Amino acid sequence: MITDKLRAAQQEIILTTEQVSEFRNKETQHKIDLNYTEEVKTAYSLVDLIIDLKTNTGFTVKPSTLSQIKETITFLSNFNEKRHVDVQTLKNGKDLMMSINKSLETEWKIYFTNSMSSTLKTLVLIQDITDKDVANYISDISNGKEWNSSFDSKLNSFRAMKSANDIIANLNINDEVNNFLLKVSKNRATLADLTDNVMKWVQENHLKSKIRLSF
Amino acid sequence: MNSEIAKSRISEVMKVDTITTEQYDFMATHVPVTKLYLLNKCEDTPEETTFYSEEQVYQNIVRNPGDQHQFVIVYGASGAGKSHLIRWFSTKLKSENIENESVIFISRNDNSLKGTIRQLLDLPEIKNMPNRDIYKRLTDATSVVNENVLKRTIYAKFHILIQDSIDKSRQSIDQSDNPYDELSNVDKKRLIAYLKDDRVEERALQTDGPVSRIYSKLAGNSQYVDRDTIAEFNISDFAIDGRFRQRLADSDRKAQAFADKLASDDEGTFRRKVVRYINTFVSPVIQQCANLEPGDFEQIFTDIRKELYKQGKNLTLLIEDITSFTGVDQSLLNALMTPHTGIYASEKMCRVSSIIGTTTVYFRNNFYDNHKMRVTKFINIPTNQFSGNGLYEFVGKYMNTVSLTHDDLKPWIESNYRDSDYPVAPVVEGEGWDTVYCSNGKNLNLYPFTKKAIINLVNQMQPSQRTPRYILSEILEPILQDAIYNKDHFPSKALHLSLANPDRLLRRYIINTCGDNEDLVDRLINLTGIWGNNDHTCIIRGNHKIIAGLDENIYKSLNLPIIDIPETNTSDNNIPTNSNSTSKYSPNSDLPSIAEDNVPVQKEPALEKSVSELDEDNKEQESDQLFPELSTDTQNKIAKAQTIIEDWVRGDQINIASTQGENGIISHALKNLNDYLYSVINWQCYSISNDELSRFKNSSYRLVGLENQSKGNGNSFYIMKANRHSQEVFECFIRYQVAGKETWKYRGSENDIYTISCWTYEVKNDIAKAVKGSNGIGMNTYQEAAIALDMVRMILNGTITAKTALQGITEEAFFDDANMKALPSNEKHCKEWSQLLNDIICKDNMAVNTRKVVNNCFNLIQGNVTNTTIFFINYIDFNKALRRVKNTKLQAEAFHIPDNECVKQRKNYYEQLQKVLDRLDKVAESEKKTAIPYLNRFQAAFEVDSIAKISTEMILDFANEAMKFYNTIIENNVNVNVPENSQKQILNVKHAPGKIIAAYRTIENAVNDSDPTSVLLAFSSDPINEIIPIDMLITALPEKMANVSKDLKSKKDNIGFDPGQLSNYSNEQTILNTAKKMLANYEDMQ
Repeated sequence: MITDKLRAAQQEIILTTEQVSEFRNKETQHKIDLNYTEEVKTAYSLVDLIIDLKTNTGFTVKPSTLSQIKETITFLSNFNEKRHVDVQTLKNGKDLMMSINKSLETEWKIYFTNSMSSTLKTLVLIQDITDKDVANYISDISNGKEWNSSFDSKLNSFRAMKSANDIIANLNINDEVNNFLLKVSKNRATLADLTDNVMKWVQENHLKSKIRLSF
Repeated sequence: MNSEIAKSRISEVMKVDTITTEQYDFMATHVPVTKLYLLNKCEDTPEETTFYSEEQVYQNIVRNPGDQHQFVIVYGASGAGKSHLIRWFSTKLKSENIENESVIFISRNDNSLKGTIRQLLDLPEIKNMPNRDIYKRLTDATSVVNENVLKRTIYAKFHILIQDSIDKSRQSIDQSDNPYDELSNVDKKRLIAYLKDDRVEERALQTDGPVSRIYSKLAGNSQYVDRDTIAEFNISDFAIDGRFRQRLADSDRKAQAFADKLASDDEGTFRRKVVRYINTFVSPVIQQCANLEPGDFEQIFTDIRKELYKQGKNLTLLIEDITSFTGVDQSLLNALMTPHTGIYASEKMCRVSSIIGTTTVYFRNNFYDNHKMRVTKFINIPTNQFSGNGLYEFVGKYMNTVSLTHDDLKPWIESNYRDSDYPVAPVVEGEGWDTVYCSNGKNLNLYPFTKKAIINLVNQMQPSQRTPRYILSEILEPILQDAIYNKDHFPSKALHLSLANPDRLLRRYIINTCGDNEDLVDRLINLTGIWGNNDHTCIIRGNHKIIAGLDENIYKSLNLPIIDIPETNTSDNNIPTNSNSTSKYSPNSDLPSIAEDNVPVQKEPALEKSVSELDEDNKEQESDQLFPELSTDTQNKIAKAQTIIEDWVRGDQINIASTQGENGIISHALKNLNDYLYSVINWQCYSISNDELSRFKNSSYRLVGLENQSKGNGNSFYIMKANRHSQEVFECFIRYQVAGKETWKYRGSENDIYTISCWTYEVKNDIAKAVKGSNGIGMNTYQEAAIALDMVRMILNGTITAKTALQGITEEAFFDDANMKALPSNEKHCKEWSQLLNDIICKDNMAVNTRKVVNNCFNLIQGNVTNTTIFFINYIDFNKALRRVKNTKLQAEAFHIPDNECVKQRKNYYEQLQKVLDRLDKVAESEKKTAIPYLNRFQAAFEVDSIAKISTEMILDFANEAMKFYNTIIENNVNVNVPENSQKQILNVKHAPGKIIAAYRTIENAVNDSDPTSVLLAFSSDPINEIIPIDMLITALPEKMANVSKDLKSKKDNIGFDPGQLSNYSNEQTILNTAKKMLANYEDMQ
């Protein structure tokens, strides 16, 4: 009956339209597929990264971001021989990844700052009064500050921090000294701040000539 | 008269040719001729006032008291009595037995030269004449040739002699000798060529042609009637019309040139020359055909004269007709005009006194001048020979002689025709009829004539024909025959008697007396009008009634009823000349004379009137005061028109086609009569509608026609018989036409109105019945035909829809102007359907006219309004007619044209309906053929074999899917065109699924129906138009679907690679799965 034929025709149109929309030309699809593969790899790298960071830096991804990562991976898994990746899907995947990266960037920054700020501050105070290569430490630590820095940079940051913390520990800098150094760094230290304990610490570490007072 | 004797004697006595009559009959019927001119020269109308009697002429001329050589010509018009007079002279001469006088009388006997010569040679006086046997053999020799051969010989002789004449003229030095040589040699040669043409020859040989005239003088067996004819060519023989000229188109060139000259000779100048020329050859031709040389005949007569001279006798030669000698007439004249004295004395020829009969024309044209100059005396017989009592005596003697046997006449013959012994036949029939006192003192009964009849009948003849011969042949013989053999109907119609001015009241009395017996009416009108005094008088004389001037015994003797005319008290002094009155013959008696011209018989002065007549007179006097007397011219016009009517009643055809003259009056009168009837008859009382009436008026048919009319005979509903009653009525309309100038304002019109009113009352039923045609009571079939035609039109134009049978058609449709429409422009009928409807609507405005019939025929006319747009329909009659039409099921045979249907305007509807009905089968079949593909497509689309299996849901489902299909096409950018109106079509389908199914059901039923009317009814609503939207979808969608598939395939083909080559993302899946597991572990790590 003609009605049935109409129905069949509609289905055929829809299917064919779908096929047509899916079956782009080989080159385009291949490019998309390469991007897709890259995206998959990026996702995998991300997972690998956060696992490595967890392992090596203690950085832990927030559950929400983790869910995002899981969804993205699921999204990226939704393609097969019949359902090829299209530009939009790929874009969507990238957007998802970008969103995850932003989240991770924030999370990393927070985590990095929390982990590194004290050390860095101290390193800045002492970099002029010690003979150690504090500047390199500061540089190394700073290199891993950004999420888009490489895993090695991040890892070096944490290693540099550990080394710097060892140096700081060797200087025995208590709070009073630390306060004095802080004020010196801000050119706000006065003689009043040069307490005995501070003088003692200066002498012990032979730092008299290295500390300048000014008005 | 004694009819029994008359029956055997009539053929012997009533002979127009005197010579063939027995001597005793000739003498018994002889009436002395008293009006003869004796002249010295030939004059048509002699100035001489002195008349001579035949006796005087005989004594002074014929008897030749001076014993002189003389040559006397007796001339007069044909039939004037030349032969009779010459024969009387001969009889008289012979009876006197004059010593030494041989009397030779040569009659024209068989009117041929051969017969004439034979008569001559049989005379006892020349039995011993030398060479007689040779002459006799000579004349006998010509008789063996048959008519056709002899005629062709005569004709051939002409061109032979003409050719011979031309040849001779070439040799002649002086060509001016021939006085008749008016034609050039070129024309003569052309004349020969013309005469040689077969068609010209056939024309010349015709019965009334010149050769036949010449032949009549050569042969004794000629059928030529007019014995006084001149055997020669005349000018009319060379008159040719365009048609005859056309026939000569392939003729000889010279013949054509001659024909052209004849054809253009309007004034006849050339033809007269030709006639004069060719007639110079008549005598030679006759002579050659008769094997006579001109000298032969002269020699015969010379021999006769010499023979008589030898016997010591003189010769009185009486020749009845010189034309008998045509061909040798000049020789004869030479022989007769040669005197016996002087230089001719030595010839020893006898004295000859010649009395020669001839017509004036022949004498003038055929006598050479030298002959004319040698005529001694001319005896002229004037045409109007009889005057006063002579005419009655002429009739009386013939009527008497036919009643006498030879034995009765014997004593008189033996008395040598003594007047005192003249026998008078006893009156067996004719008691009470007129008698005449003759010059011989005998009183003869005139039965079956009256003196008035004789005068009237002779007056009706042309003046030139008032000769004894014509009176005998035209009056005496036929009327006597009628009286003898047809007495019960005497005077009968066969006599073709005519009465120009019959007395109207007398005629009415006659009609009242006789009723419908037309024969009686006719006889009485003729008898009273011609035999009687043509007046409505009835007087008493003694114990006799004299009715219309005729004794009642006359009526009784003819078995006629006595006309019921009121008696008129009158004294004998006032009695008009009674036809029965007997008056002694007196030369000076004051008898009615024969009129000089053909003037209608004037009726005698009216007698005193009866009381009833006086009443009528009073009325007439009233109208007399109102209207002036008719002018003579008007009276003459009426009289002439009445003569035509009179002739018509007597059996003549009547000319109703002319618009001029008297016949024009007749045709106008007939028109007025018809118009009068149209206006005066209340047609509606006879169920004859205005429409029907207008059709009669506009048709070539008349309401009333005349029997035996010249044109359109049979084109009348009612035929007025050619009888007296009709005459009376018709004459009223003649007076209405001429006297009243198409009004009734003329003297005596009240009588005419009365006559017409009575007649109308008598005939209106018959006329109405005739008008209504063959169907009689009830509606006429032409109206039903119109209803049927209108019905078909309404079926075709869709007015009548949703009807499965004619019975469902209601009457309102026939009165609704809105349904006069044509088909809508979007109709989907077959071509034949549209054409048929178009023909009905457009052809001759058929649809409108048909509707007019339907409306007007059943319109009850209100008041005097005849042209209205508001109709009061005679519902009962219309319904009856409609029912009858429905019952016919529009079968063509049900609307046959009545055999006697004569009105074209009515016949048209039968014919048009027949034409339409004849096409219905074809239209129905064609419409079915048109619809079948639609039905098939639908059934195929829905895969059903019956529309019954289709539901509205299926249609709606289809419409929805169609809509979706088109939407899908659009949405998916399929490269297939979606028709612009597809949505509208789909919506139309969606909105009327029920109607669509109903339309298909109608088509399905119609396709399976064999009755064309049912099929037309089914298709009347144009169901195809209803299914067009779905059909368009059904037709278009498969194509669209095919196109879609094609497009989809193309798109697939254009993808350009094998989907199998694409990545299956297995690596990626692995990576991602690993990542998933890592994440899982990561979570575990937390």
